[in-house]
Amino acid sequence: MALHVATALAGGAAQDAAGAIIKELGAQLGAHQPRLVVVFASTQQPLEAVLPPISKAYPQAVVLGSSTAGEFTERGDRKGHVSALAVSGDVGVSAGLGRGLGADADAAVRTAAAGLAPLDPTRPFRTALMLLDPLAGVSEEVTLLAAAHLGEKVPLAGGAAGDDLKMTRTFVALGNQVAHDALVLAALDTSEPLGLGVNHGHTPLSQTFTVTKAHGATVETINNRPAWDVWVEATQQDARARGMDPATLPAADVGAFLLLYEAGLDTGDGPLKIRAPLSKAPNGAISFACGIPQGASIRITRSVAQAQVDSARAAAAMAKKALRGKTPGGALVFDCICRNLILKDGFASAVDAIHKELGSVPVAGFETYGEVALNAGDMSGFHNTTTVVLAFPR
Amino acid sequence: MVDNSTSLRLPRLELSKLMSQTMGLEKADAMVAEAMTALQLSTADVNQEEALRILEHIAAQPGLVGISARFAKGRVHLRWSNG
Repeated sequence: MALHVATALAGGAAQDAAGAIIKELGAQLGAHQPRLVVVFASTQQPLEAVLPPISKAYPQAVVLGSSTAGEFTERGDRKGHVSALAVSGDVGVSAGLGRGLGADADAAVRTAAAGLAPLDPTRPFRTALMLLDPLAGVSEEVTLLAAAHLGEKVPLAGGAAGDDLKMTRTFVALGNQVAHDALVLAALDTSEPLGLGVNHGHTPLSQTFTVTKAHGATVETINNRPAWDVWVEATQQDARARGMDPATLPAADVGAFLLLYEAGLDTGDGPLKIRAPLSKAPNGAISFACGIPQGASIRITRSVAQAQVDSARAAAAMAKKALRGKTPGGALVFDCICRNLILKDGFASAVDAIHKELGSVPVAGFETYGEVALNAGDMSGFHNTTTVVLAFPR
Repeated sequence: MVDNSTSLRLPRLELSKLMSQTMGLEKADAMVAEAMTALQLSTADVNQEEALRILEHIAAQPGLVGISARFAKGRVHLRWSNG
C-alpha cells in the first residue's frame, strides 16, 4: 500500500482551528486513516487545546505536536495559525516523550526512545523524527544523544519548537501529553526510504577566526578581541554596500544585522555549519542560538535573500534524490525562523520553491528555533538558519 | 574473516573529523592531540582500539565536547565494521 500525504492550515481560536484541520485532512484523506499526524501550532492555539480533538478524530494515528514561530503549508505561510501533515498507508509509527531535558538530556532521550517499537522486517527503512524544546539549552547534545541511541543507519530529521519569538517557553507533544523541557522522538518505518535534504543559504565572507573565549552559547572573544569588534570589522565593507554601518548600528537593528552575517563553523569537509548569532552584550560578547566551544574555528558568512530561496529548493532537491527514484508524495519541512526574518514576505517563495521542486505535492512545516538533520552515517546534527526537508514517497 | 580491528588504521585527522561537526575541525583536532599526549600515543594513524581510547578520554569532558566524543565512538564502530 502506498503512502498518502495530506496537509492543512487553519487559524482562529484553538478549537476552531483544530476543527478546521480535521475537516481539511479528512477531505484529502478520504477513506484512508492516517498513521501519523504532525501538528504545528502557534502560541495563539495552545497544543493542550488543539491536540485532544485531533487525537480523538484519528485514534489509529500517532499524533505529534510542536509550538512554533510560524506555520506553513503549500497554500501559504502564516503567523498565529496551525499547520498539520497527515500520512496514511504503509508506514508504522511509534513514539515516545522524554521530560527533564535540561537536567538530564541522556535520561530524557532514553525515556523517549523507550517508546519506539522494534524494527519491523516488512518495513525495513526507519527514519526518526524529533521535536525538542530548545529553551532547555541542550539541542545539539540531544541531537547527538538521539542519533547515538538510534544507530548510524537511521536518518534523523526534526525541529526545535518555537514560541512566536517570545523566547519564554516552547512545547512539544505526543498525543494529549504536552510538555516543555522535553523531546518527542518518533520512528517512521516504511518499505521504501524517506528522503532527507538539508541546506542553507550562507556563503563565507571572512577569513577563519578562532574562538578564544566562550562559555555555553556566548562567545566573548575571537582572536583575543571582543567578538563584536571582530564582527564589525569583518562585515563593514559588505554591510556598507547594503546601506548599513555596523559600527554605528542602533541597538534595535543589531539582531537583524547579525542574521545577515551569521557564523559558520569550519568542519573541515563540506559546507560550513551555520550558528546563528542573536544579540551582543555591553562587553562585546555575542550570544548564539546554541553552544560554540572555545577553540572552535569559525568564519563570518553573508546571506542574500535569493540564496535563502535557492537553498530551500536545493534542500528539496536533495530530499527528492534520496527517495531513490520514487515520486515524492509530500514532505515535512523544518525551516528556521531566522530565514523568515531574513526573507520577510519572501519566505513564502521559499516554501513555494520546495513545493514545486517536489512536484507540487503537499508540504507542511513550521518556523523553528533550530533544525535537526542527520543522514545515515553522517556527523551533522543540529543546525541554525537552515532548511530541512523530509520527503515521503508516493 | 578479516579482523578489521587490527588491519585498518585511521589517520588522526579522520578521527578529528568525526567530532568536527559540533566543535569545528581545529578544536576537534586539538582535543584529539591532547588525548593522544595524555595516552602516550604518537602515531599518525590509529587502530580501532586506540581510536576508542582517545574518544573515551575526550568523552570524560563535560557538555558538548564529551557528548560529541561519545557520538563519535559509534561512528568509529561503523568505520571499522564497514572496513
